[in-house]
Amino acid sequence: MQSSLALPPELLNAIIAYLPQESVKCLRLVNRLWLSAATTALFRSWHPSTITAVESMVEERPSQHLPSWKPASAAMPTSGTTAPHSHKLHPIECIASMNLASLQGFKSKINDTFLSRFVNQRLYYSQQHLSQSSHTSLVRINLTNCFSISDSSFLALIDSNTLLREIIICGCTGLTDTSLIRISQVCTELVQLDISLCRFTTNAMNHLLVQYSERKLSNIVCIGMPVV
Amino acid sequence: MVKITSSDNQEFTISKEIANQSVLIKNMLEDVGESDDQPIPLPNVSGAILQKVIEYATMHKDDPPPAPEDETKLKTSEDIEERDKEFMQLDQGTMFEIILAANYLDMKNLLDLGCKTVANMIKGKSVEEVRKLFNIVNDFTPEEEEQIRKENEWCEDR
Repeated sequence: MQSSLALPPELLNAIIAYLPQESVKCLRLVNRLWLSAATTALFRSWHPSTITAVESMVEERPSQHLPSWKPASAAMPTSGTTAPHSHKLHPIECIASMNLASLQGFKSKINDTFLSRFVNQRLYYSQQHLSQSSHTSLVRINLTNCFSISDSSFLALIDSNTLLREIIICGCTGLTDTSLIRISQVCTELVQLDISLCRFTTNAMNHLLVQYSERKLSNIVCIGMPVV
Repeated sequence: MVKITSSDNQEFTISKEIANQSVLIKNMLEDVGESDDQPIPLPNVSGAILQKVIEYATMHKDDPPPAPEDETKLKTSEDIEERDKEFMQLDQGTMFEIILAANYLDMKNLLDLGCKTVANMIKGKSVEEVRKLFNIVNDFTPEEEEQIRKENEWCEDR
């Protein structure tokens, strides 16, 4: 009897695209072949939006440009056993850039739960690979108008991605000064920052400018912000 | 009319409108031009499968051209036409060969139909049932299985 092993991965993916998350999770447990196909799909569908919308959200970073990165000591999830395929990076670890700007209509779903889960997933996998490979920080995040995000999840995101070069949080009205100050404390590689329409105070802005006076930050966009 | 030959050298003569449902054949015809009446070889498809594919293409020859894909719409496998459901009443081996052929011949509608049909077979089944359905051997160690279960929990639905 012929089995589905006869189908190449892109066709398994095409089949998985029609399945609800419960079935995708179930397929991960079937065998190694399905695990690999279903894991990719699960990560994609794990976003509240559609699969195709997420395609635009993640840009995979060419592996030769992976900077070494040690996860922040805080908020590490407890480790389980070692990963079965620890030599291979999980798709979620390969994301260099998170762009949620274009997901009109889904902004209210991009909340603390979503962001925390994203951070935890990355920490979880990077911790499993700690001894095997170098680790990655996001280099770019674009959270334009993700108004449901608050400080708690944003701080976790910043703390675990300290090599960020570009942060766009235009219209993230749920964030307070705490987030802005934390950016200035931990994101030493920052080159571009867009905080337009955010509700940060002049004090926090001053703090930011002092922190970055000696650093690379060359471009701050702050339309609709208090004058400093 | 267009002549095509399968991997096992069976020759089929089909109308141009049927041939054009395969983007692969359509492109080939455009490349070789009208005058050439040499059969088009399709070395990746057997005669038996090609027969089924032609049957499908004949059934759908009067369909309107497919609407451009709406990327924001979630994919559903619940919208299979009744005649297509009947067409896909096949043994698994044939079904997978048709999916492979549709992929090779670049026939989007048939490929979608195949994938939807397999997806519907999987939906609602347990891990064990899926393995049994496709005759798949579990190649995980118990530790690995435990690990994957744990990962699944990380991805809980909101």
